Amino acid sequence: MKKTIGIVDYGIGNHNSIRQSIKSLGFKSKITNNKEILQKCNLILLPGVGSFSTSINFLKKKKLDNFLIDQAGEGKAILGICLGMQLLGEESHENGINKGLGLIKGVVEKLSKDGMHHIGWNNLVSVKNDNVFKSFDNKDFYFNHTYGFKETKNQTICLTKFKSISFSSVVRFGRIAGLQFHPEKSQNNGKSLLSEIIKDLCHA
Amino acid sequence: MLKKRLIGVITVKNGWAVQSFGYTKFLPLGKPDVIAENLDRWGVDEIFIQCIDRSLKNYGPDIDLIKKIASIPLSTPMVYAGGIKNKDDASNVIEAGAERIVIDSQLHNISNSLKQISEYIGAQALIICLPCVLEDSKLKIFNYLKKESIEFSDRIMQILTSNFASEILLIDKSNEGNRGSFDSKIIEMFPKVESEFILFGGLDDSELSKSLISKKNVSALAIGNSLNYFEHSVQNFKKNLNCNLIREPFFSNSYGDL
Repeated sequence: MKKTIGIVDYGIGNHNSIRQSIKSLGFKSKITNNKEILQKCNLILLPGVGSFSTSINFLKKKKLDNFLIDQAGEGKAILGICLGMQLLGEESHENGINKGLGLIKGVVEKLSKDGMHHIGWNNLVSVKNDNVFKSFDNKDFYFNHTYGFKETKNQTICLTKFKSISFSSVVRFGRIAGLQFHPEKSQNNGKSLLSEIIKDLCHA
Repeated sequence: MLKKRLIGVITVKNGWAVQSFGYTKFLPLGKPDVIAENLDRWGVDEIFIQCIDRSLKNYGPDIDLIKKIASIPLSTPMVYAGGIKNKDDASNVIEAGAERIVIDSQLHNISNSLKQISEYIGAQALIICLPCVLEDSKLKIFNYLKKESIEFSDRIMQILTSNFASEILLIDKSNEGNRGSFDSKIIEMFPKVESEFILFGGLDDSELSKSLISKKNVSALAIGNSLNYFEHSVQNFKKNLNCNLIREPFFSNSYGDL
């Protein structure tokens, strides 16, 4: 039976892109902020694009923040992409200090003091053995962000280097994973990775 | 290493992809979604859809077109320009399937919608477009709404140094559509800013392109006409460029349902 991916609708995000990509990989998807629907899905996906404060405030307004924390506690598979990965963290310093979901032990900070943006194709460097990500070591993926996790407590699977900066491009803690890049916009490498991580999280 | 990018530009007028010559003369190319599908398959690094009549006619962004292209499905990042006036337009464009937006007309308005858009979608998703011309040995901005060239005002400089946007799309307006003719004086004469440049206009020559993309403050080259109608044009352009600053050419072995 096809796995169903619940794409969290938090008011802004590239829902259509990720939905089309998931569909092309053979999964079903629902874009929703309805808790009952999300609860029935095999995996909850937090998509990217937007600013942290706008998105976390929307989650709070819809009472989805505590719902997601509870779902994680019950072992639900959760995948965050780009901004969605940052929402998994403890707090973010984008547009002031805002608390995140706290599912990943790390703080989202500006990558560089002068506010350089990390935009374009860059490679992953595996730093921790993981069945899914070891085959994507040194492969290029599409990034578009200014903030990120500079470190996490032993939850970083891959790092990416940008000028003199190193940040977590993949984080994972059990059935919760975050990708700082956009697999849905990373052509063939992205399609393979997205398919494998969804299957792995659903079966973990 | 972060690679510099080769961006495929699709210029859209009245819903059709066109070949543009200085934004004054146009030849039809076909359906924009078909061209986007080709660029996606040929492994271009970003696809830039610029709908050049949306702001002029006050139509707003072409959401149906963005949705149609995103539904291919597109596995390459999409950048969109045309008719975006405020944060609601910007949000709708992102939700329809674009990763980033380009703003031009708002630069010439007094409203603070640029700041609002930036705070709402994030500066990384916002690009400022500046069509430039060299006139009397001076670099000027071409305001296509009023069809006149203007000097860099304090207000525009304030916007360019404000970090509202992540990159500047620097267009050689006079040479757009002319082969191998981007005038590098435009970069040299541009006021000092922190943002990196995406260059566009007359960039089909590999030697000129290689020298431009090697500049420290240039993050990408945007190419329209010449990438749009030759099979494997993206791979061939990258091969001829022979530059390790960009991703290597990639030949897909996937042909969908064929």
